[in-house]
Amino acid sequence: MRKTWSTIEGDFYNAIKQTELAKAISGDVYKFGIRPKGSKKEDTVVKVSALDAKQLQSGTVSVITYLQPLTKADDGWVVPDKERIAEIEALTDSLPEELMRLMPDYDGIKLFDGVGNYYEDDTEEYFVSVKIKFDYLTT
Amino acid sequence: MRAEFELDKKSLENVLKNFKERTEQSVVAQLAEIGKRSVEIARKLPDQGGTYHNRTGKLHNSIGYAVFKDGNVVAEDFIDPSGREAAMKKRDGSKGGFALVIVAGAEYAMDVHVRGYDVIDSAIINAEKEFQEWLSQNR
Repeated sequence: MRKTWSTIEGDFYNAIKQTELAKAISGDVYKFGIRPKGSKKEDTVVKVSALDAKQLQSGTVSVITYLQPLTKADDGWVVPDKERIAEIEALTDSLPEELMRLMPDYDGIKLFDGVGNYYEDDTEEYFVSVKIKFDYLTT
Repeated sequence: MRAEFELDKKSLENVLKNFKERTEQSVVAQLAEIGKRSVEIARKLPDQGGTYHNRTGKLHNSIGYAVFKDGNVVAEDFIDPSGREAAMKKRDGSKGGFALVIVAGAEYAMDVHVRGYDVIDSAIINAEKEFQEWLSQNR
């Protein structure tokens, strides 16, 4: 039976809540669109980005962890907390191995691209982002 | 009673040369078909449920593909020149043999991608599947 967009989002959400990344952040893990607006905590957002409907279902899930800047100077210059970003990047990079163990019904889980960090102008946060590719053999 | 059919060295070379050319044309045609179908998926995404807001059409139109043979473009489909420019930058990685390159050339394509949206995820997944299927059928 094929998995739906919501089922996959739920599978990854439940699994990611059990990972070292979830234990390390000061905030919580959220499904896409649920993170409280204005949160100043380190939150991880899980979003299904792509999904096909073939017998071997494949798709991508985005895992985005928001991080607060180290300081904000009077002139508005925002300084990234490089050390913290590196810690979160390392935990994010190891997600596929943890998820393979936590989600044995999936047939493949691997990085779709490299882990990177970026800046969100609107909320003045940094975020670590990665896409994870999954395969699920339907029965 | 016997019959002999001789193939001199020059004729054999011509046969092999023609065979190689037809095989190479077939490889190019196959990669172009995979590229075309995959890019169609990506270009239709915003209209199939709005994975991101395709307000100007620029991102959508920057998606395209190129097939390289020994570093030269032998097939392509681009709407916006930014897509072709992005594909040409990948030329260095495809100097030997054949390569299918799928790109989103808009400057902000990566910004959209890292925020969890499907720019060419579905296209890449489709291309991977079709490529593996074609390889397994022709091994």
